[in-house]
Amino acid sequence: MRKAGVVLAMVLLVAGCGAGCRESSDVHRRTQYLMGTVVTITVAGVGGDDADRAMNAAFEEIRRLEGILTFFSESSDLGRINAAAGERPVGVSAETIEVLTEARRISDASGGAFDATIGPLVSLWGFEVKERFVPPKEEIERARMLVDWRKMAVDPERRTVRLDRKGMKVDLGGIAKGYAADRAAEVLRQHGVSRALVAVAGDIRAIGEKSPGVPWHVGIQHPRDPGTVLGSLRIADRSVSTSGDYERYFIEDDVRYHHILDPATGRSAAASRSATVLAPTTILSDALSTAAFVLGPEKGIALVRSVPGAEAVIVDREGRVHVTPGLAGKVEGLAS
Amino acid sequence: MRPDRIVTAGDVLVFVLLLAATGAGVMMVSRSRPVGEEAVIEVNGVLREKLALSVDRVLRIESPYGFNTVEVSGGRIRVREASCSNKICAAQGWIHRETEEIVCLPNRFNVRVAGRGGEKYDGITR
Repeated sequence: MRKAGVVLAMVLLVAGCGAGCRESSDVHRRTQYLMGTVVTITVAGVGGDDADRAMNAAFEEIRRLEGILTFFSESSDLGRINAAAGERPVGVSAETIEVLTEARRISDASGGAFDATIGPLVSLWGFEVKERFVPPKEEIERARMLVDWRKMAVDPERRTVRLDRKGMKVDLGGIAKGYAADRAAEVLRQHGVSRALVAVAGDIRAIGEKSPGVPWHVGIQHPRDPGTVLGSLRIADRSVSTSGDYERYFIEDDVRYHHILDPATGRSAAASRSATVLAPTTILSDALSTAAFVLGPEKGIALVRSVPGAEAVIVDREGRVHVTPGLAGKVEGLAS
Repeated sequence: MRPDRIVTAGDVLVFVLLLAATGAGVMMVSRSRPVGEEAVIEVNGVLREKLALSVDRVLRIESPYGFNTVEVSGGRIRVREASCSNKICAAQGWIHRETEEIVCLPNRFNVRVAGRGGEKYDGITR
């Protein structure tokens, strides 16, 4: 009997790691390079052929959206909107209307901390190119004056978009990847997939659970230690996005200049190291994480709390971690 | 001590110690990524190589997008040289912890570190 007790204890210890520790054979994972980043789709619970068909269609949907929403083409919806700035309204696709309508809504809610008309500042700072430098003050001011979401008119009935002033530019860097993840998830569902994870870079959408009773396990990148996670989340039928100051940056005179710009100052937002947002959709988590990052811990947490179904983890500029009440105790491995 | 007792104080002590050790282990594992055992190299999303991190070597991976030369040394891996324009991949330096990753967008090349039994996280939000 005593031996039985010891054996029972051992079995309990081993069983603790049994469920979900190893990937089962019906998990299919594929990666493609789209929207200038790495897109990984993981599908579970269906056979290889069905998974392949569904994933091909989802990747194809992202490729299609990239053609419509890219900043780097004159013939895309975005290219045409920007070329006609200050002149006339431009007819665009239903997808562009959908993204810009949501963008305006989040700009309103965040007082412009997220702003899809950030284009002139993004071009000026040029985080996409190799040679990086701090632009002169006057040029930052000139570009900043062209950033204002209230001067972007979105007309859903006529399906047109108009930028009021010449030189204004829409850039969907803070929202298009999230939208693409949502649309890819929808395509997977239409193909009969009920368990999947779509990751467009760090914008992640979970469909269902990975297996019955086992949610998807998503790590949150630590903003200062590339080899570690800050903590992790178990998610099902939800989306998560992170905005951080560590992805594209350069350091000049001990100041860190990174790619998330504060529309109010025209410079890199300095209140946070990273902001992770959970939300019902990825378009929302993507844009809200940018807004929360720019606003910093106090206003950022308040913004996220005002959005139904949204939660946040914000690491402030000193490295302190702030969590919305709904997420307290639910971030695994987080020092509290 | 009565000889016919099923569970003794010693058993309880051993059990509590085991539980504590498990708890501590789980905490340690969940706070830092474990050191990975192999590097998985993909080009354009297709698996090209799985390299054990225990064997030092230099390997040039060629594709229609360009080449990346990886170096495995002392349980770590890095991109030593690449044909891409920005060399961000080479500048990233060594990686060795599970789920650490180097991505070379121009060459559609990526190398990530994985444990042998699969990956700890289904995704990383960054």
